[in-house]
Amino acid sequence: MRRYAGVSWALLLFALLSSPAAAQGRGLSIIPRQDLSFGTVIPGVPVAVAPSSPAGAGQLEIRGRRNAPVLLDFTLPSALTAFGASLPLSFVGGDAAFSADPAFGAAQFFDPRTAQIAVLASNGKLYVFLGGRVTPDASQPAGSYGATITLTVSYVGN
Amino acid sequence: MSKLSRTAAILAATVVFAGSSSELAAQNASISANAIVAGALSVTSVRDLDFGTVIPNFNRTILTTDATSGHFQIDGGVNAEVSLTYSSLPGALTRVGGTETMTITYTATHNTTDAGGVGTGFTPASGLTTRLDTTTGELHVYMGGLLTVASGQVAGDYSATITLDASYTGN
Repeated sequence: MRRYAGVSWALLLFALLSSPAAAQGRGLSIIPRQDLSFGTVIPGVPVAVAPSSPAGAGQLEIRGRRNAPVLLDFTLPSALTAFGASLPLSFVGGDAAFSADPAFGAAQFFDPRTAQIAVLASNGKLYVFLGGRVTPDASQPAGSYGATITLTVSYVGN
Repeated sequence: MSKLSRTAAILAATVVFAGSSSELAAQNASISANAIVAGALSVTSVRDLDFGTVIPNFNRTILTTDATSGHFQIDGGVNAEVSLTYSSLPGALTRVGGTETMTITYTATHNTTDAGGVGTGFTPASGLTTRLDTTTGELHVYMGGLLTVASGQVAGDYSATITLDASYTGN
């Protein structure tokens, strides 16, 4: 009986010291790499930034289990704001992309308005890119406009 | 199995289960979307191009760095690309109240800071596409030229109007 108790304590100790990563693979994490930047825009002149734009596209890095499918779900604002003024912001199909390559190689495009399933690369990483478009009207007040875009990522299935 | 052993097994199972639940939780992160809306573009005549008093048969050159060079200042959105063209770039000065002329050949420089005429040279007749300053939204254009004065040039005041137009390219 005393020996069984010793084995059980060893199991408990193993369980306590074993991280979830060791037992199940890595937990998910998301690292913002770059904001979505439209630069200087002119009143009355719409501007679009492609997800492939190195300087303009928003970029996030996802880290998790190798080869695991994940669900990518953006929360997208409909406008940038500044001092009470509003600058319309919109997205269309193909304004987002994901790739195992941080340099956008072999990227797969998708519609950021719809949740998208992607598979983490064999190193457990995935890079997500986001473009978009702003439509200033002819009398758009001058100023610096901004908004927050959130990417939620979760494992799909096991 | 003793009571202690059973408890240990339950605790171990609980720890492993808790790890799995945490791992499956959704994660999120945010980035910003940003844009700078440029203000209206303006062009200001800071200083006229002035050849001063010239003497017949002696041509006169004004450098862009001279105190009497022409100077335009453009103000607009920071780092915005603009197109500059001259809607009026006369090839000669005309005597006020007369018809006599003196020909001009222009030189020009541009700089995103007011550098007293120092800058990147360009050909006025060809216009220019460049960017406003990344911090101030300014651009300075300086104009010099060569005035050709004939030996029998009629005395008087000569003048002409140079008009510089600026517009955003949208880039």
